[in-house]
Amino acid sequence: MAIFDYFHPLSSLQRQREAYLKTHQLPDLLKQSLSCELPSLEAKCAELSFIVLDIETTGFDPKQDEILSFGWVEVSNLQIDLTSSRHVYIQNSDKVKPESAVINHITPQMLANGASLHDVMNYGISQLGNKILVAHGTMIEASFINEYARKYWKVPPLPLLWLDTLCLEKHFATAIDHYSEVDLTLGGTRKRYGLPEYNSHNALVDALSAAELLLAQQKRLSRGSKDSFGRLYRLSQRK
Amino acid sequence: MDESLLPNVTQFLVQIDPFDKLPKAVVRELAQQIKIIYVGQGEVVDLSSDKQEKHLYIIRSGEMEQRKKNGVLRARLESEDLFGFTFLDSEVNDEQGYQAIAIENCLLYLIPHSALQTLFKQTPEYAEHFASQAQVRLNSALDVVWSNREKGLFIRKVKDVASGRIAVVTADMSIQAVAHEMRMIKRTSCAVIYENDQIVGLITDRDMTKRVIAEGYPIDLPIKGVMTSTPLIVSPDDLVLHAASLMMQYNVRNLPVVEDNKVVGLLTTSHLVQNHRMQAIFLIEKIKYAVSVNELAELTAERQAIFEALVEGKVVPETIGKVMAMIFDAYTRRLINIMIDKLGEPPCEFSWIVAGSHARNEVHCLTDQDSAIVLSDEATANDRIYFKHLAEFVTQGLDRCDYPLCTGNYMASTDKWCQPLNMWQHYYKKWVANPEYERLLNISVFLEIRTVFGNPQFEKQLHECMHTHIRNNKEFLGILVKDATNTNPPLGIFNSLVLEKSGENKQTLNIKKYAINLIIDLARIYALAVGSDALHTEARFEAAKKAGVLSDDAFKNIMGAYRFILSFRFGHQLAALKEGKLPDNHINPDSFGSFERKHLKDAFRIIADQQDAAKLRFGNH
Repeated sequence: MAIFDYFHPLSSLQRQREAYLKTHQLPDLLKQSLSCELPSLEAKCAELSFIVLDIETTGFDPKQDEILSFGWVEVSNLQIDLTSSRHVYIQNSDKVKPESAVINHITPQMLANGASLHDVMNYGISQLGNKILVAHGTMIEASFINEYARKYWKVPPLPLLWLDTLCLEKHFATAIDHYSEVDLTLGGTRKRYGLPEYNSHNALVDALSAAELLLAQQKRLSRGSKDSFGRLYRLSQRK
Repeated sequence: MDESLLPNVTQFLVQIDPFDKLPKAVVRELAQQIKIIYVGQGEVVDLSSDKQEKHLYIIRSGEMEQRKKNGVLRARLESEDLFGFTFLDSEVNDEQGYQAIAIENCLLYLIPHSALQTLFKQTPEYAEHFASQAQVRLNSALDVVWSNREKGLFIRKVKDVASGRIAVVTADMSIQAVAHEMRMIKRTSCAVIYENDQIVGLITDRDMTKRVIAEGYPIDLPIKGVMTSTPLIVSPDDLVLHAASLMMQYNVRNLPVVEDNKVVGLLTTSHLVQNHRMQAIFLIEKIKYAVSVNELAELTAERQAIFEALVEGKVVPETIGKVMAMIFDAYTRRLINIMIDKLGEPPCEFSWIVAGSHARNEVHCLTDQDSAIVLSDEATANDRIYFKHLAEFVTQGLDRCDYPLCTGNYMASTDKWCQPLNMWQHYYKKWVANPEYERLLNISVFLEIRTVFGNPQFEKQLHECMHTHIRNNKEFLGILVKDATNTNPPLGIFNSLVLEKSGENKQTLNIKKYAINLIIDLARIYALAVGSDALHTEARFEAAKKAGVLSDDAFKNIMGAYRFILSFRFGHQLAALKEGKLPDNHINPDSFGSFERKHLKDAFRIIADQQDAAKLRFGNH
């Protein structure tokens, strides 16, 4: 491995995962998921699969606040596939014991009755495989998932593969003008790409909005240069 | 389940045709099977590829353009438009191969054909909504796309299309006997009338209704009293296009086909409509009935297809220019009428005049607007506000229809070019008396004027005024010649002096500047010298030849050169259109073979000779 590649954030995440698997006692589901090989630096984005995720919460503090709903949609071959879209409301999590959680089938629309947080988390991890998690501002999603992992799986923050469309956008903006003040909100960013304005908001609509933005950003990045995941990932790291 | 999983997608779909005609639950179901893609500007969505699953495409945001495989523009699409209807008839899949190109970044919703087919299997009546949708959306596009057979129609001969069904009668036959012959014997809508072995008239069933029944004209009288005398006729070897132009120009529906004074057939508009789509006629009809600028603007693709077909059909450039001018006229008249409907009747007499190549009937696909308004001398200051609005609306409307605004502002919307007759007369006097700098430019634009709407007398009076002044100023022609011969054609095509030095068109020859304009200028000078009102370049040389100012030989030479260069340019522009590029006047000397090279050199030489001759004859020595 070239020394340059060794320090690539994707390479360090790979090492982090290997160490994590060795050091911690993990539930089987988690072990399987984290054992999946990460995409290579040269992998073409067009050949990878992404899960674009959005959660709605009661606030910003994962220790105090609760997740209200999940929305996600998958992107593969540079296509958003709405058959993969899911929107789930979370039942009051106190009522369901983690031990009782099984991986229920999550139907596209678990709205009326909702699902238990444990079901959704287990289902999500089982579906993850080597897909890349995407969110616009991954901080919230990652911190709530890590809090769940700490509380119920008794493990430190998960070395998941996250891609942040907000950080990507920040890179693009500062590459043009270092001091520029750009509206980096999902709505503001979409406007710059000529993407339609959505009036309704829920976890799934926002996940879909971020997925469309991801396609637009990938297009922008692949213009006139090689389409490699390594490059996309590096640009999506927080500065 | 009354809440939608994807409210943003469903909300969008339920408001566009044909999804608005489906139950909401069905649309929700379809929405969940959508795939979304983002295509960057210039990217091509290839619908003919049979590798992947086929989809119906819905443009969510952005703009696209559909082009046939050979590059001919099919339609322009924007948000809420659909394409990819090939699922309607699997047979046509291969025939309909066309591409969609993103003009800007686009977000597209894709509905798999399999999802629609499943839906239609369950509920066949839904399919009809999609069928009619496809028809409506693609109606203009289908009209644009001609099969090879239809494309050829323009250059086919009348005898290939006309029918043999026509009644032949004599002038002394009674009206009833003629009607009997038409209805009972020949079953035709038209009869040709002979007298002493000469064709003297024509009668149609419409004429019978109008002139006989409606007027209560006695049916035992000879047909001679109600026939149309000296009817228009065509010969079997005439091009269908020529016949179609006649029909449009004179608003007739029947043309007898005559060879050696013998009637051999009949060509009617319904022939053309039933068997073929006679595009130019259709387009002009559509223009006539359009009620808004938007509606007119949608016809651009069709106009371009007509141009392309004319050029591909190797129709003579003169005819191409005329057909395109007829279409340009129709747009202009329609826009004026739309605005008059809005503003009310004009407060005084006026005429809408076109100038430059539009006036000369030499319109091609790059022609921009040159126009003016001549008002009656009684026009008040208030009246002029009306015309200012009118002119603004028409020029902007034409721009929307892809007739670019004139960069020099030679348009009726400019105050200076929207003036009463006496002011225009004053302009011409001033220009001719002292044709320098800007005045020379002004007069060279307005030396050719043609009325498109309103009182044609104004144009006549201006022509007379112009000729009088020119006759009285012996210097004027000389100055015009001096200006016209300032630019010379290239002596060799590789003469680096005339190739553009830099910019986008580096190392190309501007064929308009270095050849076409030079010939047009010469024709204008000859026409003015012999006091001819002819506008068309060819007609002008013809007039000069008749007046004995241009020798037969010189006439043949310059006409040959002119036609060759025009065809050459049209061919160049067609090639650009096919590649999806904007057509221009810049030709690359490396791009053509020795045949063209030789002919071009000959043409340039002829132009140079004619310039010298004009200098000798009209120059101020």
